[in-house]
Amino acid sequence: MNRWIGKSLIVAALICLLNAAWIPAKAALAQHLLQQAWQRTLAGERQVKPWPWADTWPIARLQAPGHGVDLIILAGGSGRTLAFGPGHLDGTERPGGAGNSVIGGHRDTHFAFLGDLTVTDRLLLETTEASFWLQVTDIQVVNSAEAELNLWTADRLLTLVTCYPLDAQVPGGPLRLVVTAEPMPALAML
Amino acid sequence: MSLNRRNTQSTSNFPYASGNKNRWRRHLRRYQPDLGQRLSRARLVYLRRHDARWGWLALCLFLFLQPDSAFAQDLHNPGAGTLLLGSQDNPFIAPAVSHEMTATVSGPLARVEVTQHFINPSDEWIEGRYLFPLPDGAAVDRLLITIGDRTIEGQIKEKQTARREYQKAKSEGRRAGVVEQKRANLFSLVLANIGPGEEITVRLSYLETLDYRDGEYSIRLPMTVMPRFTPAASAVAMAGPLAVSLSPISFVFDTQEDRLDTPYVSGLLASTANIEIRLLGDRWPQSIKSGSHVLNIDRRASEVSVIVDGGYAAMDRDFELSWQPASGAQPDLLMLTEKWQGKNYALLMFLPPSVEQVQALPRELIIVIDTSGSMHGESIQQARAAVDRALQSLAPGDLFNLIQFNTNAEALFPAAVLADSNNVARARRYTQGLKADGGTNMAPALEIALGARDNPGYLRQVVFITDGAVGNEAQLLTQIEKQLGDSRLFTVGIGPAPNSWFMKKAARFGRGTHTYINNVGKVGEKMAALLARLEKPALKNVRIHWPADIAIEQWPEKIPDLYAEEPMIVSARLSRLPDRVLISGDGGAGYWAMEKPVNVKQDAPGVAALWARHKIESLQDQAIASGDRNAARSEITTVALEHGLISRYTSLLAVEATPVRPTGNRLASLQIANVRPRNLAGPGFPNTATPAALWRWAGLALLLLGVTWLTLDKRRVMA
Repeated sequence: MNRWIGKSLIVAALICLLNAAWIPAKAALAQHLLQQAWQRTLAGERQVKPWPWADTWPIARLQAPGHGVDLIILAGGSGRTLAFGPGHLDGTERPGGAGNSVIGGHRDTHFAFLGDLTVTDRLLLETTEASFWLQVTDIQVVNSAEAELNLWTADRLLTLVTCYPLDAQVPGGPLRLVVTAEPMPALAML
Repeated sequence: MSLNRRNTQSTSNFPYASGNKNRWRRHLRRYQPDLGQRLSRARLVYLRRHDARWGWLALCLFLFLQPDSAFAQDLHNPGAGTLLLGSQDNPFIAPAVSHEMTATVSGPLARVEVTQHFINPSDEWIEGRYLFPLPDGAAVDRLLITIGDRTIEGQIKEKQTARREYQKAKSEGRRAGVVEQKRANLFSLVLANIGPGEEITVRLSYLETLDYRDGEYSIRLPMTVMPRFTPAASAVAMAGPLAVSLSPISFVFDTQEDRLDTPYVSGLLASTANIEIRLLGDRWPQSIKSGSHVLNIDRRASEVSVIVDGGYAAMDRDFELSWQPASGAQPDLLMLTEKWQGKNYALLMFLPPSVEQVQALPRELIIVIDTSGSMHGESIQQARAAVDRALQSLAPGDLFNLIQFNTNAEALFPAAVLADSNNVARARRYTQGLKADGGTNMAPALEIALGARDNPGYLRQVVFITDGAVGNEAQLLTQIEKQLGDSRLFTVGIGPAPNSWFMKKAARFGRGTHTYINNVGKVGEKMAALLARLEKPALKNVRIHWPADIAIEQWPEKIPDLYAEEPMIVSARLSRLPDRVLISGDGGAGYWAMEKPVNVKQDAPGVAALWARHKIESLQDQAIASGDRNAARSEITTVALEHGLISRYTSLLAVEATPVRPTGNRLASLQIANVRPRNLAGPGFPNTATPAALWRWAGLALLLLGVTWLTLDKRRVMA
């Protein structure tokens, strides 16, 4: 009897550890499938589902050359979507549009690199219409219970949001790391 | 808030003749040097009065506006930021606009004059663009533009012609202004060649018939424009399966030519309006009240003047006023007439009798609630309260269902269920848990509500609670027209600035009524009135029998079902005025008819214009129902040009004959911001943490516990 309790504890432990390992594995695997879906999107297909039962699709690609980051941005910012890739928040400007486009990502998978970004770092945003370089202009930690996303602008902004602190062990905290990037003037790219 | 008031006063009392640059600079120096100080005071007051979610935005603006010393000389340089918000390429002035609205009300008619003052604070010649809302039924027929002591009057033109002539005047350096209809309740004004420091006054005037319901007249002056959600993939919405997700929803303010990309200023720089409503009549109306603003009422000999207390109304919400006509002053049949260009026009207002009648049919009540992001804040609370009220009104024999929608639609029960206490309690619990998030995708919700299979013997009433912040209005109306069947659609407008054009139209296409609630405190009262109306029998198949020898053209051609306490308004063009009129219909107790002598009032100016407006509206409705929005283009253009009204196809254009802008001076463009509706919170921050670390810790802890357990167990066995 006692042995059984011990064994079930071990089994439960393994399940937990598998779960813990599955989250980053899923995040990486999904991005691989998404790259293919993104290529099809660029080829002209619309709302390409990366796998048949998906409820989201790629809408943009974000690269941070200095950090070895190459991510496909998905439509929608729900928890289900964010497991597979950074998600574009409904109700904010589309990436690359004239306004603030807000993208959320998980702090311990896709958007872990936000912690390494510094102001003036460059990001490459690829949409179905164009590709352009952005420059990080602002990095802030805000309290999501009090702060508000600034959506009332006609400036082309890309806002990347992830939970803060990046290494917190319990999810659901109120703090967010908010990175704002703006398009670089064409000349500055040279 | 102190900032708003002072700024508006300083602009509306702008003391100097226009066009004088030095005086303008003195004016700036006099009013602006202490702006930073006032801002910090304003910010504190502001933060105390509003909850913290505004704080960040306010703080950003505050920091943006901070550089104190640079203020005085930078202000008249539009590229320098400071009071001009926005980027260098596309700046827009915030406070250099003031509004006055004066409504003169006589019976069910209102003539409203909107005066807007614009000041060009820059050193450049500018073109100003401005987007503003007007009530949905407004017949806009006058435009006057005043610069200094010169006034130019607007002429009605076909829309493209007006645009061409405007462009021509603009490039030739002549002053010009054009007012266009963007949507039924949204208009744009463009002004070319406003000189440096110049003040321009634009007067627009419109006519409308007022709402009369439950013994009360009400008038609403829209003040702000709600951002609309247009599902990006809305073409799919009609045909696609129910649960299809139409994300991403983004702010697409665009339906081909009608770009609606007005930026918003925050409440910190909100404009205010000077409002006066004059209620004419020998006897004073009663219970004058406003759910939106504090009033100051002045009773005079033959009119009652109502102004907003303190003189200035915040423009972050619509102004609403209601009153009861003096007792006995409201007959159940009222006919206003006007002779215009040799023809007789009549506006007939008829109050159906309040029949004491038992409802024969049990009903099937389908409640649909909008839980999209635009409902966030006070709106969703109002909506929840309204749903709860409706749920409590159900009788045990009724059927009901509850549907919520944002990006997707979700029904609480797969099909309508009996309103027993268990089901109702479940629905009420479900209502309490509703949160506002996501896009506004109305089509699937309508599909579920109207497309459900019929329950014979039940009267299906759909109560649709929303702020109507949608952009694909025509598509939705066509859907309602197609799917309605025997159902009736009742729309309930919620929030500080609902899209009431769409909701009234939806109710008309749905053969029901529209209710507007602008205040949480009013939910109970207004919902009770609506629910009572739902229970009252309607007068169906209503007809007006004009004398046979009179040639008539009547709008609307087919009169909708009537509910008690709610008037029918019909406009007609007649070869001669009748002295009697017979109205008939099917009441709860069978055929019903009423014949009355017509009490023809003396000439009521505006009746002809309103007839034209009603005709345009009916033609437009028919076009929408047919699926081709432009089906009635030539007919509408003809009637609008004849009566001088702005429509989808006609604009008011005012141009000056002589150029004013010296050749060689370039013309800059300014977009003037609208005030953002109160309570409109944007989407919140996403939740962006995974439980991976938590799983890892739990796993390790369990592993440790398990290994320890087994080790201890082994030792015990060995011992």
